[in-house]
Amino acid sequence: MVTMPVYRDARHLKEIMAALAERARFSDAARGLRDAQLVVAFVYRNPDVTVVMDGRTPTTDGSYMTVRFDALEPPPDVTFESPADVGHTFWQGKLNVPAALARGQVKARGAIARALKLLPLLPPLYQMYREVLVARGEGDLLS
Amino acid sequence: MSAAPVPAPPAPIAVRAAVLEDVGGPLRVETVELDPPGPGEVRVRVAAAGVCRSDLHVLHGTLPVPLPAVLGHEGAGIVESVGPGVTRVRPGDPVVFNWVPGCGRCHYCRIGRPDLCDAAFDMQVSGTLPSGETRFRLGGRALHHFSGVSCMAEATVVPEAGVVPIPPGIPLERAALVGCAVTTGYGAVVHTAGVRPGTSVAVLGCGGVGLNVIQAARLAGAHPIIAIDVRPDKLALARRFGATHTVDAGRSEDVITPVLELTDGLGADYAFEVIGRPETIAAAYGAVRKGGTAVVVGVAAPHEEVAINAFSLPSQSKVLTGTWYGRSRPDVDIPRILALVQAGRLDLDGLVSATVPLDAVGEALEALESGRAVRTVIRMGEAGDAGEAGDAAEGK
Repeated sequence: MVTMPVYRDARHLKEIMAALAERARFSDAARGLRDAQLVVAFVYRNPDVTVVMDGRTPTTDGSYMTVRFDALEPPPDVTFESPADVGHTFWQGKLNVPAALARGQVKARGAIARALKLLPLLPPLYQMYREVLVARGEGDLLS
Repeated sequence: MSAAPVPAPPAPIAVRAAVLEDVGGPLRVETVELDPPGPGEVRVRVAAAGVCRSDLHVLHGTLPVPLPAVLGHEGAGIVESVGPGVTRVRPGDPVVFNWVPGCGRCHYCRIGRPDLCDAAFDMQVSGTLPSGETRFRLGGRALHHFSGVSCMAEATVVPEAGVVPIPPGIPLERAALVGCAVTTGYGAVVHTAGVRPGTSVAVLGCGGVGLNVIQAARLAGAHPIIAIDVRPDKLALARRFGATHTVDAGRSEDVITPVLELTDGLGADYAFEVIGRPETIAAAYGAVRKGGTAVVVGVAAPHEEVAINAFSLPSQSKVLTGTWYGRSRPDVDIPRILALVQAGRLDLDGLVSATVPLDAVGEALEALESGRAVRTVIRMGEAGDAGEAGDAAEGK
């Protein structure tokens, strides 16, 4: 069995996440992030990219969150660290998060309980992620 | 009636040996002085020594042992002479070295766990023989022993329990590998994990020991056997040794997901970490199913720590354990393993990347570090004959 990394490089991963953020910034999940005043960071390895989803900083366009890359600003309330490939599985809605935490595939730090409360809001984001990849002509990356 | 002549006390001999003066090297082949065996000790003319990652760990200081020392702990040879009180071997006997020579008296030896022998551990830490002395000297300075063996030398002195007699006729260049790599891998599967037929096995790291974990798992009837490594050439070798599936960890950092995919989402029944790194130890733990067993075979540096999910310990009931020398009983296991080799059930030839003279030991360590070599065997005597008795004492 030979596994190829899902994301070609950091730029590829950021383009996909930026497209996801664009679709998601008015979503219920983003609203949940805003209501909880949470900043969630996803620290990916291979490629190394940090994605910060900020529901705390006010926006000017009425959207519920801001997404930044490669800087832990503002300081995150919770951080999920994993190989980027595991992140890809997560964004497809195929990752059992508690099991992945137990296996060490994902390491979580900070206000985990507050972040886990958002899990029920996430399925629409999973669908958006799939749509992003299909729209980019990269549906073959979906499993 | 005259008194019987008193035999002259045995003299030291001069031998060439791989000496490490300090961490970082260089490892130099020097002509050193080797004393005769003391009480309970055996002098062995070394035929061959395998180059193992533990030797490399000593060179880098990640396995801290007293220096200067003569390296080498995996080898075989012929008993040359024995000290007073030695009963288990005689001159001329072919032997494999045992780098955990159980004392037979401590708590752990008495409960049948000579792998945990206190005296053997003390000996490893102190760099001496059980007497507290060393038998090697260079320029009048004592050289420490490595794991009581120091077989990267044309001859060495070890405790009686540091040799295991083997049947005549077995090529010593191959038997040497049974001194560490084969016994450790075999023991990890057979003794530590107790792998049963039909159970799934994941092996992280396909070097000399990892390949022996794989072939022992095949012997135990495991399926699937999932080999994981960053080097495609090692994965190809793993298939030859019995891996049914391979995972190229150089292509994706996440090695747990492929193991889940190959085990119906459960995780492996057994995972063996044969690298000695905190990340891969955690990955091995993560890759086993609930109630499964992760066995750490690789030796990490003493200061390293492993982080695993605390909740998973009670909720998933996994076993995370380790194995030192395969939790083996070398006097039983080494002859047993050699019998399996002779029966064609275990492969030693396929482990050997190259056979080189002692002078090439430095290059052999580099080849191991770079990942080019699985096992390089040092064949003694190619770079010149051993010195005769008294040479070193005369400063030759």
